[in-house]
Amino acid sequence: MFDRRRGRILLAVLTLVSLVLLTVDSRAGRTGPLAQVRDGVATIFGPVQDGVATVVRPVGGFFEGVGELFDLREENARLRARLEELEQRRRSFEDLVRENSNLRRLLDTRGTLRARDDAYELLAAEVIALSPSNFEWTITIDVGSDHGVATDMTVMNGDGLVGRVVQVGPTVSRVLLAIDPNFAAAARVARTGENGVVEGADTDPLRLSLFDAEGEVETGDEVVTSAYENGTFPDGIPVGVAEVVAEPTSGEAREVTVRPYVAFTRLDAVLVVLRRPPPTDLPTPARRPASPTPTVPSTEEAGT
Amino acid sequence: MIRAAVIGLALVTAAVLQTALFPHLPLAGYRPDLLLLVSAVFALRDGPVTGVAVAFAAGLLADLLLVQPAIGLTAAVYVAVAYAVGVVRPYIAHGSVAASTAVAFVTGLVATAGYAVLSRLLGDPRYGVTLIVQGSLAVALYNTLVSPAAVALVDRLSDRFPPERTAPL
Repeated sequence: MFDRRRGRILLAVLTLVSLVLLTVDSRAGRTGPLAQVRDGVATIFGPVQDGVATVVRPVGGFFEGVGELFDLREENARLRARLEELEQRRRSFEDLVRENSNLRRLLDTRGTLRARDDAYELLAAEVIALSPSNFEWTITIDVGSDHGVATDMTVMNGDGLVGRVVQVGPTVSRVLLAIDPNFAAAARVARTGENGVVEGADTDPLRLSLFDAEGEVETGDEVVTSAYENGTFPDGIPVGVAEVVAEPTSGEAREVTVRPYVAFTRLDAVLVVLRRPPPTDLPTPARRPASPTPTVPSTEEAGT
Repeated sequence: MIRAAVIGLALVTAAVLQTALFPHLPLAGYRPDLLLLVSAVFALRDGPVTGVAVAFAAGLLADLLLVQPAIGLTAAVYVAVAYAVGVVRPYIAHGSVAASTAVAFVTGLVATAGYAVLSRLLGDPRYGVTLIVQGSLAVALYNTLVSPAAVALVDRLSDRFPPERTAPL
């Protein structure tokens, strides 16, 4: 009986403390004292998680391998198709490079423009942990402010856009993945240049809302990030492929379902964009001005 | 004091496993909630006082390892669930495998659903009915699967470092 009464008192006190913390943290946001405690915890846990990740990665790989054993034939066929697709993309990429080079010469731009890749400063990082929650899509990477990482930096890998840095400690950082429902980025359809906002939708494909309700887009069109109005993300990082395109409407936006290139459940190594090339004043032939006037979400998490 | 440190170490271990190991071993895309499981097993074994205290520490740790939700939400959910387990403890057969399995399943279900519903009420739009049902069931099942290991660990810790006073059954 005594234990139960103590339990009730403790329940009341700790629930009250939880509610106070909840209120304080909600009001203070990312700059409050509790956010600094979070940074501290991330820094302390980082090396431990890094060590455990190094040890368990082969174990996890083994179990994943066993799980995929039965799908190998299908996987093989899919990879062959992907290889052909990439071959074609490489050819078209070379064509684009040639066209780009010709256009630059025609426009007589400032003599020595560096190749686009050279102008980016990228930092390789390893994924050491995922969020403890099943409902939050974040990863912890093994680089932080000591390595030059800052909040809102773009994170990508060889396939495309991974996410955005949302929390930085001295040696570790947390990245909000593009599939998280609180993620948003300015994006455009590569073929037509239609601008919009791409948002995460949990484990479902991403959602692209085109500013122009009658914007031109087809199934299979590639979606890339846009540096629209000097947005957070560098221009042209592949996001995914348009999968389902809603009919044009007279409403405010046209909805497109986008299948992401990145396999978010199998992230291993990523690249943080430390610095990107300064915005160029060259006209981009593929892009057209968006119409009507775009409205980018102004939520805290919208990284546009 | 030593007991508190040992429980703290157990929670840190659970958190590290939850973030670094189990993401590689998903069940239907979901991971177990080890911090919740450890709290529930402590409540089942040692009563509501220990359960609520451990649950608060575990919830706070989970909150600090997250990025988006406000700190305190997970702690509040864990505390409520652990207290409920502690209260029904006298009516559950001590040491019963079936009892600990049932507790792991029910707490996984209730805590995950409770967390999602509270988050939705606080304005997070991601939690639809399908996600809540799917996520709660998956976590409940996964927690049930790993509960024998958690029970063995907590039993061992509590035997080695017993609480000052255990509630009568």
